[in-house]
Amino acid sequence: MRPFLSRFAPALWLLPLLFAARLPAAGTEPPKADPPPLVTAVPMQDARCLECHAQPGLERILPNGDVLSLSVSAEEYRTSIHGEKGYACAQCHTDIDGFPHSPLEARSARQARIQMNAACGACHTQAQQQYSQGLHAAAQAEGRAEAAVCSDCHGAHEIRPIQSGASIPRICRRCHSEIYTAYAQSVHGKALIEEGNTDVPTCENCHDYHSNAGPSKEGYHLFSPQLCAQCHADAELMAQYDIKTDVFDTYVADFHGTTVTIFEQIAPGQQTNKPVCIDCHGVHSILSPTDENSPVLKQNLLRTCQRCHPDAPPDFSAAWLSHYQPDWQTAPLVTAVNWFYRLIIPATVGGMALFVASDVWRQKIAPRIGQRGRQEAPRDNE
Amino acid sequence: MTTNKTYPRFSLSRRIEHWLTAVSFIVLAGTGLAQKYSASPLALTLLKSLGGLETSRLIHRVAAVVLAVVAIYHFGYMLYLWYVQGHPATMLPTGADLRNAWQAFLYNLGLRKQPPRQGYYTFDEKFEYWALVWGTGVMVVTGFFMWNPLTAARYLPGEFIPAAKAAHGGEALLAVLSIAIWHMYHVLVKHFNPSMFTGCLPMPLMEEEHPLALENPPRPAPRPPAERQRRKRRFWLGYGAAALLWALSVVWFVTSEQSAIAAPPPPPDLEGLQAYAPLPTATAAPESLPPQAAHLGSTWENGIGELLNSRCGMCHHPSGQNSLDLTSYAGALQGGDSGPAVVPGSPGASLALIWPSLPTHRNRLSSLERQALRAWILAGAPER
Repeated sequence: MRPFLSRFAPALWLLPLLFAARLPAAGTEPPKADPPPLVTAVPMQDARCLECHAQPGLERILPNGDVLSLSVSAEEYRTSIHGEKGYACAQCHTDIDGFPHSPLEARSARQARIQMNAACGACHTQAQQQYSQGLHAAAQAEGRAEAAVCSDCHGAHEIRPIQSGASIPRICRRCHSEIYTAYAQSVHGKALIEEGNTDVPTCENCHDYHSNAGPSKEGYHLFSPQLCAQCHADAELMAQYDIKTDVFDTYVADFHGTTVTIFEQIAPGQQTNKPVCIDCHGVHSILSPTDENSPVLKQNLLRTCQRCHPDAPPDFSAAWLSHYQPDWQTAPLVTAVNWFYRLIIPATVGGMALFVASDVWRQKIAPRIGQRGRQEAPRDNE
Repeated sequence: MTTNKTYPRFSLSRRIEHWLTAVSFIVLAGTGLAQKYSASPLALTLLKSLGGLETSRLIHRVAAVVLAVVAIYHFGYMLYLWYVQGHPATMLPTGADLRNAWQAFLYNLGLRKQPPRQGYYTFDEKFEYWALVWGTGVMVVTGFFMWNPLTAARYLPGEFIPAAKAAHGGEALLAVLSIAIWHMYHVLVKHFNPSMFTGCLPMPLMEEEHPLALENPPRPAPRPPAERQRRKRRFWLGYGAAALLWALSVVWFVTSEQSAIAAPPPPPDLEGLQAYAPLPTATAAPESLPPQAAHLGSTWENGIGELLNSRCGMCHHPSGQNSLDLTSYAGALQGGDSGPAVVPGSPGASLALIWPSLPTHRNRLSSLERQALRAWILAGAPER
């Protein structure tokens, strides 16, 4: 009931529930693998391998004409995380069983790399398991060889821990350069890249690194407001930047947000034509809402509405209350209507209930407990 | 006593009207309040069992049209009874109703000996009826705004749309509570009133609730046939026009725009970016290189810039390590704390080639990348 229950309250209690249920483990360090024992009983000792592979220019031409370099910088490996810990070549290169080696199966350099990456999962089981649920793995399964495998992001012999912050977008950029460019110009990207601010989301906060998700994943679009809410509903974080935290609640209270929330609840896989945060604010190119190019700046808002409502008349965008809880300043008419019903409902319902209660007393209770009711009941003597 | 006698109160057509209204009201309230209180699990279950949100909204709209059509019919029927047939307008509220309500209340409290003696319609029936008329009016108008937001915003300020949504929800709650408390009490709890099922009220109830109507039954005013004919003609002309207008408004209501109903394609991609857009160096993986990618660039702009940017820029960016910026041409020439990173023509003096091969340096260049960089520096490190 509107006067007694805030219409926004339901969304508030729903929020932690949804987080608990659905939030990918974004922004957290991927679980470390249990280090396998450092093996000494490998078929070949590193020194043997390096007798040949330390020489520069060692290469093989693959059936498709690719030149596969087989040279390894011993120094480079020694300073890598695996080298520092003392893992042997043959622990990853498990297909090497001695010399001469079995012939290479790969038809191309890319294929060689993809095959080699199967070795990572032997130790990094959890990362491998997460990767297998992601979009890169799905694309690989569809035969798209360009989809990233472990070493595309981590490197091969030179693997070092990836620092969080700006280094992650720079890695993703290698394949997603257009998106990186859009991100680098956004309010989030600028803060990260130019100011080194790590409060802002980088790629992995929304897409996750191993079990990466994206718009092609079922339910991602409907779920995406929860991603934004991770930060934008965090009062402590937003206070530092003077950003309102009720943007999420006001969105859910609006027609679009209500619809999306219901869809998310009862049909998460269904396509909806109702917009979520990114449909108005932009995805990677999100600008501050006060930026003159922001699609949600008042002067630009109508054009944004018209992307879905092409015939929208000039005042249509005023139907959207701009993430304000309606009050006398921002939406006097809505506030007046709310107050009208806030007063008229208790008054009417209270009046009716009072009368009905008096009637119940007269009709059902008074006759049973007193003589007066019984005496007055017959009306024949009127 | 007259226990078996009944008093005819509602003709079949009036009862059909009542039940059409009742069914559409219940459907509208159920599908509407489920959307208003969509955080409740019960509401979600209801929406789901009706076939999902979009089906529920379709059902809501069909029921709304039924209610609007019943309203046209009702308005015409009442007008005909009163204007042509000369029936007294027994449903119109009068001052006596206020007095009756007050007296009934006093009687209930035991402050009055007798209940008020009322006519053909009691004050509580009139209250129910006019509340329904008011409520239907509010719902039709605000429903139009929500059904046709673009059309509404063409003639009215945009804020009318959220205001209509607020009023639609508030009025719905008021209507449902009124029906549940007031109507249900009077027709089911106080005593079971069968007249909307059978058309007749048992005589004792009639005597108790409407004694004045029994003493002085409402009778049509006697009218000469010619006058009646004239009125009939005027009625059909006037009401015909009004009903036609109303019917046309309903058609307009339903068809004027589809933006809030039909599912246009999902919002278009705001950015239109290519998801897979590899940098020229992206395929230049350290270990394996297709020969066509061996050419990593011969000028800063056609590849070397990207190469340094992607391989070194992670640390050596404008605010990065050792005051060295390898993300711009000028930065590469200028170098950092240790000196110029790129000395055109002199690979041996170019720290960009030397540092990455030292064991203390975090990152390495592949041999092909080194070759490309070396060739570029030898060629004078051209920018374009």
